[in-house]
Amino acid sequence: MDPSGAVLHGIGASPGVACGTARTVHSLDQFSAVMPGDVLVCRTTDPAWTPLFGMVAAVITETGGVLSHAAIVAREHGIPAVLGIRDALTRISTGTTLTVDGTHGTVHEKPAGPGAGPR
Amino acid sequence: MSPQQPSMLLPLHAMRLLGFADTKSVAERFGQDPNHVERLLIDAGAKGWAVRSSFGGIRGWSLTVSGRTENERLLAEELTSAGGHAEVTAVHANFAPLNAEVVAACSKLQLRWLSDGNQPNDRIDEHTHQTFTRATASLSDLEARLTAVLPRFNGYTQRLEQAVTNAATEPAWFTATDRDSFHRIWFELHEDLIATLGLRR
Repeated sequence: MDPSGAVLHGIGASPGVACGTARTVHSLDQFSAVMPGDVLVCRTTDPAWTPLFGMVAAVITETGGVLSHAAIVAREHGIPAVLGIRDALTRISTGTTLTVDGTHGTVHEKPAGPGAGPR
Repeated sequence: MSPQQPSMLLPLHAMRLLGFADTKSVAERFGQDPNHVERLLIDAGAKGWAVRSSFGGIRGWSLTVSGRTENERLLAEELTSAGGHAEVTAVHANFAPLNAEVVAACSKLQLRWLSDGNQPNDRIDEHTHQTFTRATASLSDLEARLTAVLPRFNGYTQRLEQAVTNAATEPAWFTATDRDSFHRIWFELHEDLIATLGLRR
């Protein structure tokens, strides 16, 4: 995570706030590592990634914006999406607990606790 | 399909377009025999190009990274063989502004539904409806140009027309992910063009 302040800013593309464990996914071969309730972190998405949207708590991508396919699919699943975070795959580590605010386009670290999960 | 199509091309490409799908769906995507496709998929699995897994209660297939690479190699061969690079590139250029209109219309609909309480309702204004109808008509011309060089592009317009028809009574058919909605078809076509030309998102 960004050591300068532990807050990342992107484009709030699908509204809502959710907490979950970050899961960086670089390719198709890593899909099986994604667990229900994870926060999916990836470069971009194509139709192969759509099934993951049905199991994750939120989505973060390095590319795209409000009018991208990822935004449309995230809204359909009712999960927050923050898109267009530069270098998200290197700035976010798998296992970190994140709060993703898709309304305001922010991502920050959050200690795991009983409040974790979509809300 | 043309008998000249490499046998592994269509099953791999169907997986590319569908993302995760059972054998029946992979076969149906290009009108192939399910038993033949099952054998090809098992072969693809043995070569490390596809994996069979369970996801959301469904047992199905998806491409691996090496399967995607093989898919792109076969698509490049197909395009070269058809001499279609210039035409598909031109169609992709014409598709881009249409795509911008469609994703904007989808987003506008969803954001309106979200502001109304997160449920698609029946208040689709005429302007929005016409955006989808016009995009479908424009796509019809593009599909004719595509199928002239690559017949496997056939069918997108017909599916979009059906989605628009269904959306007249159930607007979720514009953007839903659990059916052959307008956006799902459009996203698939976008992926098809990108994959065929070997472009990166």
